Amino acid sequence: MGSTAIILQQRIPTWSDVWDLVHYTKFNLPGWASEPLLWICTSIIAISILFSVVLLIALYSYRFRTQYRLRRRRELEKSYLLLLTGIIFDEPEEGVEQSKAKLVRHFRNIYLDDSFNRKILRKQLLTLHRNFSGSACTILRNLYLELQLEKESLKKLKSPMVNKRIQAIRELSRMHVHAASDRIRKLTRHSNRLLRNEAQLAMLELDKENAFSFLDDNLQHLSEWDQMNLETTAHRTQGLVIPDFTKWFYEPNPSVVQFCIRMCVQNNQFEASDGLIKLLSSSEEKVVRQSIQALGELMIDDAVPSLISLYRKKQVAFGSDILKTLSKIGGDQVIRFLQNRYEEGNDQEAFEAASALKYTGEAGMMLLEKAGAHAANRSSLIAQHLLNPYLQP
Amino acid sequence: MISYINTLYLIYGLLITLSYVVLALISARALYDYITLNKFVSYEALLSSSNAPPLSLIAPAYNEEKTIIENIRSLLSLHYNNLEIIIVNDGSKDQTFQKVLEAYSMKPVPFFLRTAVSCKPIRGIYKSTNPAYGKLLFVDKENGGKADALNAGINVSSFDIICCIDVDCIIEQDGLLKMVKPFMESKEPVIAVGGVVRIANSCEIEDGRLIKTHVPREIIPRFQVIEYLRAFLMGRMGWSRMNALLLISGALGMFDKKIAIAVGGYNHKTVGEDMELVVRMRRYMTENKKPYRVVYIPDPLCWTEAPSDYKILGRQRNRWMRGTMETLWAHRKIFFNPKYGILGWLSFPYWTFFEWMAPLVEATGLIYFLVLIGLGFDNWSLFILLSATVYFSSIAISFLALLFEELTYHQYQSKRETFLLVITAIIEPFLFHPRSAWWGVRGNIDKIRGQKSWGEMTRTGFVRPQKQ
Repeated sequence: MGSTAIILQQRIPTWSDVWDLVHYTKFNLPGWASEPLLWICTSIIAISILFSVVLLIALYSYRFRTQYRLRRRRELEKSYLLLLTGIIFDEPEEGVEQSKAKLVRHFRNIYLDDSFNRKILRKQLLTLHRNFSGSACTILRNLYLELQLEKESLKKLKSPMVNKRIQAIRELSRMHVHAASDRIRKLTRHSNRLLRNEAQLAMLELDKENAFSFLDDNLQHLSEWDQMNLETTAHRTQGLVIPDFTKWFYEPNPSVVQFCIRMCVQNNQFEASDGLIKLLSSSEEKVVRQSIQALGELMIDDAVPSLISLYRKKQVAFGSDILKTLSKIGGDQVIRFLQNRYEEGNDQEAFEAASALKYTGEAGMMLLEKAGAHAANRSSLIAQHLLNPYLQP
Repeated sequence: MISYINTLYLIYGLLITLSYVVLALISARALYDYITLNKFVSYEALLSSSNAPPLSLIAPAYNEEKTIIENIRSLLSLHYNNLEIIIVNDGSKDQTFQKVLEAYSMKPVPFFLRTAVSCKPIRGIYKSTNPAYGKLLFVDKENGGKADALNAGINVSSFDIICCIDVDCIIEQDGLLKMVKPFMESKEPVIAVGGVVRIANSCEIEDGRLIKTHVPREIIPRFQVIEYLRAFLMGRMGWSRMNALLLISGALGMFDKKIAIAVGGYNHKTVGEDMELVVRMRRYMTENKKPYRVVYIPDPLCWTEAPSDYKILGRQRNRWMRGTMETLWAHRKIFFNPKYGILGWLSFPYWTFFEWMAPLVEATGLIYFLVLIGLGFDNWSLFILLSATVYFSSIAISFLALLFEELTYHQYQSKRETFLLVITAIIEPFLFHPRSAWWGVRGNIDKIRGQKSWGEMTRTGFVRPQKQ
């Protein structure tokens, strides 16, 4: 009916015409289902067509926008690089201060009225700052401050978007903007893990005296990834005041304890040995494992009886770690124990014990060589495997 | 009666469309979070840290003489410090074994094997005399299929995280770093991580490394590009977000070895060993009341050569369907079982109704329509309405997948290539989808007939960049 009317009147069909067409067509559906199902189907078709057109427009407009921005970015980066390396490397005729003032004016007059230009400049300054050291870094930092780019970073710190806040923290910490310390410190306990970790990393740069204060009463989980980043950054940061990490050994948060054990190892805090031995009886599996490894790294002789006793109790859970740790500590008692497990244990245990024996030193190696020279039994096969020069880890 | 059957088909079509829309929305959110928050991640610390978890990479090889040397070279160039690369020669009948021995100066070594999961006998284990290939371990074993070869790899592996790949795939250089991250950052233990697999046909590859991406010149791989974008960026991301992912592609998956061993390793008796292992691991964790996650990351980490003729593609899809059926049947206990939570209530029913049954419903729908024509009850209007609903919604979903790709990884950079993909998405429901459904039906028929083979897969090799 609707279609006939359209043809007769020669006009563009409206939504009601389409609906009329669908409505009066025989679909052979039960009466109760006919109306809603037809309505749903026609709506899906209409929405899909409309949505497809919108998606195509979005796809191509995004493509054009990205390409335009990329082109602009490349041009800007080229100009910035020329100006910035000029002030870092060239000996200006009119003196450093005048030359810098000229550059600041130049940036202000030509580039800084546009947010995209400022964004690229911030990125460029940060990249160069990361790649240089010494006076070049100071020049770049001063330029960042004189151009008041830190104001924008501080503004971004309040953004509701986590990624923008992370970016701001990174900019402020790399450029050592100490004025932002208090605000960033508050974020070290934020509910978002990535933001929290970024803030913790920033504190290592911004508050070297008290960088690890975020560990106090910290109940939020420090993932292995966070711990590794903190550990690596702490290792690289110059002038960082290293606290006694054993003071956090009894925190209720196991991930904090685990991190502190790692830091004890990194900083050779041998005084942690008693605490580490006590932590072997912790109910947290990760803490126990970390303590076992730390005792090996720090080569704590006193830990041998506790480790052997733990091995006998909880061989399944920590057996491999304990054997590795024992191999690092060495000594007669350890060799006797490892030899026993090598001969008496199951295949996996025997292999791990023999592998540990190999690293205990000359005595262990001699035992393996002796076993390897024998006829083909299990011990000799293990010894041959471990002594083969191509199968070294 | 006819009207009720019509209604059932219509409701099924609407439900499947609705499920895609919901998945797309969840995936969009997951992708946005991943991209915005991972923009700042630096993998330098992981590369240099002694605390980075060591990895065993396992790559089974069967009759790969044409490409094995280059494939191994590609694996050796991956960025990861604490890595062992285990190549398992699964009783190849060609020169794969000899070529590896010669190219990498391999010598047999006395290896003390600890059998944790069952596999066919290992004939020998080889290490290179050249220290430059120190990471490489070559295992020669009797033929037993991909699952068996992977199990052999698990048995000889030294480390707690294993990465199982197809040897002919190209892994992005920083792919392993990205895949290890979820194991380290989640509070709940991560038992498996999957990465996005992309189509490498027509891409430029040099020394086993991807130099430049292109949209495939041939139409069949191009259909698969659209399909993969939909499946990986829109499907699996959504499932991963809900912690309800059942499948990690066999081309690239990382697993917690202890859990993989606890469940008995890969199942030799199925042709869908990748999905079956993930389901079994999930089932094990749930039954033992252990918290866990299976994570998917959207970065394009693995590039594979897709079949470029219908015959080989048909075999692959037939096998995938049989694998799905075998897994669903073997773990039917999960189906609507409240004990398994989202797995029982959502993932398993979805796979049953929309992955396994969809081709069957399409085929029976077509037969039903033909029967009605034969009986003089033809209903073209309903047929057109249903087809139009499915067609337009599927195009919208394909376009959305293309937009996701554009907004995130932007792998295809020329406007012409994007246009080609748009056109492919428009014609795919006519030229590709009916065949795909037919292969699904054939998979069902072959499964009922007791067919167990993988079907031969031949590859033509990657494109090399033109010399200037």
